[in-house]
Amino acid sequence: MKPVVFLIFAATVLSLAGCGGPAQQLPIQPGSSGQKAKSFGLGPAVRPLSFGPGDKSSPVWSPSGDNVAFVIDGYVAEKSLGSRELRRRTTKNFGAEQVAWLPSSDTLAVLGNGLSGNSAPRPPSSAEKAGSVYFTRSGTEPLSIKKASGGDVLAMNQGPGGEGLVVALKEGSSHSTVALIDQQGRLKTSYEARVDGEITGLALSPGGKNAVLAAQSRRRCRLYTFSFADGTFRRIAELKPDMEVLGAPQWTSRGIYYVAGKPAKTSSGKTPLYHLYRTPNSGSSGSNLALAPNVGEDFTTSSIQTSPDGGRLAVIGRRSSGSSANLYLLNLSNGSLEALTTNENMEIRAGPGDLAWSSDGKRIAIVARGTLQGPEIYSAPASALLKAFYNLYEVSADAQGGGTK
Amino acid sequence: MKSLLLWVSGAALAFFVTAAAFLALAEFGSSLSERRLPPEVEKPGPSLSMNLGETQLGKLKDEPDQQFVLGFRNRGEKKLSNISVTIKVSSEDTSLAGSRYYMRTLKSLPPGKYATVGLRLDLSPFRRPATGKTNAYVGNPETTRQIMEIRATTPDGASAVRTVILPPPSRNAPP
Repeated sequence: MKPVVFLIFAATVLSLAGCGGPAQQLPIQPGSSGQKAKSFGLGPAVRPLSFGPGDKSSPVWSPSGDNVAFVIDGYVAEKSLGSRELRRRTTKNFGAEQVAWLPSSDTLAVLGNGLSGNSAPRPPSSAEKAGSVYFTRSGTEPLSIKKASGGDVLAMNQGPGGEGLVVALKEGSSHSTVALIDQQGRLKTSYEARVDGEITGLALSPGGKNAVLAAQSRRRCRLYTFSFADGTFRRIAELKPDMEVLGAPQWTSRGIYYVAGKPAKTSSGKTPLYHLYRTPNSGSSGSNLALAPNVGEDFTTSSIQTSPDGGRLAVIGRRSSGSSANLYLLNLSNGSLEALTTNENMEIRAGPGDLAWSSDGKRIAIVARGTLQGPEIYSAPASALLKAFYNLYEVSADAQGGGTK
Repeated sequence: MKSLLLWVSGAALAFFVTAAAFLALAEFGSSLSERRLPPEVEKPGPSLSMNLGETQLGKLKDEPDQQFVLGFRNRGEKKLSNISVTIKVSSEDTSLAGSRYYMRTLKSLPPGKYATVGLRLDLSPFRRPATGKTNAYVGNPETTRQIMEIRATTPDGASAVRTVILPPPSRNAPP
């Protein structure tokens, strides 16, 4: 009986121990899909949000983050992130320039001229740069477009307290002011205070109690803060006579950032260079401009937008005049500047509104297309093409595309 | 002594039986998985192939009356009949109407044969009609690309599609 028991015991020990002496500890290789992540010409942390032809700009996210809306060839379209289908929200040739998603609603605000293909010619506007605001409800068929109250609107943004819109209105030939429009498109509050010149862009402070804006008069471009509580403007900076501010200044936890530079003369053929500046929220109202820290003197910028929490600044810019444009993230608490994209022969749109944070602060939408040196052939219909045309891309705000500084 | 010999021979036997069992299992397992691998089959390519001639694409100008020749080869084993060729020339600007369409039919293309279809295309820039409206969206003709979408289909289901993106008109070109 004993030999049988021993035989079973020996076989078990040998089978568990194996024949190769001490067990070899091999590292487990991470799983691989066998396919390199597709970069779409902007780096690995980027995915497309739209396809096909059309000159797209001014992207905005819906409050839920499930949809995006944008201007395409002068009209406004909306699409779900999970679908390729576009839903037109205005008539074609609407003259749309900017779109904003009203907080906590399915309504889009469109800044434009409201022209349609069948409308009768109208006399020239008194203000060439001004338009009107129109409200269009998402998902309504046929299109429901309503002109909001106000007047000659120069700029708009989401309203304070998560309601309606704040708009910059042209007042006479040389002044402008600020007003609030409610969710139904009615003029809610108009303020008596005015500033010299035309307001070229405005944005809210984190928390929404104040706004910051740039106003261009004949002589100077100035930056102001505006208090919704008492309806007063406060000048915080004045630029040199030959400089202008691009887009809306941004109110952050570390001061007010803005893009400024000298506009190129039409005949010069030179590309104007704009840089990122910063001024304290309390401002000195002088003309001593200070470049923003941590980005470097050679860094040129075209558009910026503060994250919803006010702690980060998304920047489209170039590290030097010869380098490619990329989307950068400036962490305002520690001064680090991260490249979120890795540009591989792409033209990133550089308009002031061609950059949008999602409301959760995790994603940024940009617009880009591939560069084109000559005719290019694709084995797909035009509606399925991506890099051939300006399209929207979603960039993860947690990604690092090209290293840090 | 006899008992010790029995113990040693038993242990040796257990070792060899276990080793043989593992070797047999390993051999059986590997041959099984190899047999389960599906044979690699090359997917058949499209029976109708289209050749755009990249050299001629580089010579196209943003003007009317541009000569354009398309080449087709039947890579299948059956004759292709009534190949319908459609070219749509449009602007990247989707708000511009007035796409230009060109159609030709290739009556027959035997297996392995190559045939060409010639067309004259109007590749002049698309212009927005004057409406008298102020502040209307005008696009940017200096950066707007042109699209040439070419489709070839047969009633039997053979098809080929190519899209050519043409650069914007030269900025230095005379108006």
